[in-house]
Amino acid sequence: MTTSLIVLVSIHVFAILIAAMAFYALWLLLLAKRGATKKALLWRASIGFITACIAWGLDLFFLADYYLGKESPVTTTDVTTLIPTFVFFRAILLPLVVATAAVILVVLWRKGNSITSASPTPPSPDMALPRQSRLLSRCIITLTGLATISSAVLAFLGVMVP
Amino acid sequence: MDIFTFLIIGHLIGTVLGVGGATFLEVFLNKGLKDGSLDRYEGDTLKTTFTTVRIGLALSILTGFGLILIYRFEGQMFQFYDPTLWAKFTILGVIVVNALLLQAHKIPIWLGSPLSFISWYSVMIAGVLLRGPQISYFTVMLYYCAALLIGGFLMEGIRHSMKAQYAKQQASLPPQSS
Repeated sequence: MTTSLIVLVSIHVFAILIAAMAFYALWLLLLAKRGATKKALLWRASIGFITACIAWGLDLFFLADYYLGKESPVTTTDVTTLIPTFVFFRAILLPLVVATAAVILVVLWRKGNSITSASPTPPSPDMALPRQSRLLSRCIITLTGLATISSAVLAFLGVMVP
Repeated sequence: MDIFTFLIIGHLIGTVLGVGGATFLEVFLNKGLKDGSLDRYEGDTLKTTFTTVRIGLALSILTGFGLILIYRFEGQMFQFYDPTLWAKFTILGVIVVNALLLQAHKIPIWLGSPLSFISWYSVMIAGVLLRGPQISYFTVMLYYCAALLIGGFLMEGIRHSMKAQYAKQQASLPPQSS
């Protein structure tokens, strides 16, 4: 492998791994009974979104390399032998992770305050919030869980599958 | 210092933080729960220790992936067929899921904390001692399950003994005059 390809593959794997970790941290914070602030949720979601975008950008670069062959700046014979099934699986799953991260970020940005106070298991019945906020909170928890699992699978396959 | 040494050192620091954090988590929890509840200071201490364990986990995973990438780039694919590596991945999965369950209060802390403690020690011991193709994945997992059972009972025994000792101390104190 060329040095540039090694660097790109490393950045790609670490970007998606950091995205998985950020989503996992967000998931933990959302599941906590208390202590979540909108700011804390937002910066975790932002890191997840940005790193997922970096990974996706690099993935497009690899795909371009696959399709364009010798026209691409990082073309080596190794790259063209890496590919088929896994890259296409990644090419579908990675945009989904980016889209999920974008949805999470936007919802947290706009409705973050109602989510931070809508604990899934409120400490007392008095603190239970309107049904809509609880529903939103559960949706975000589910989306974050899906983003965590998807990005973790991508990172794992990215490093394991040649 | 080459990148491989750097990653090994990082991986060791992550493991030290994880194993050490899990140990202190168990110690603080046993001390805190001997009177049946956690006060604010004990809660804060536990929160800090949880953060340490998570930093250790993140560092271990990041450097572990770095090491695997190096094996890939250097063509040492045989490393991926090490059963201990896959056993370590499985136990790491247990640690990650256990943290989620603890956070969501879906698992009692008296069960989740020993699970984390024994899993961290199992990962460390498996990484150091149980290496080589002669040890199968199931053997490592069998050791892990045995450690969980034995360790779980031992730690429950320690917890009961600490509670009993505390109750005895409280009973021997002179009654407070109002």
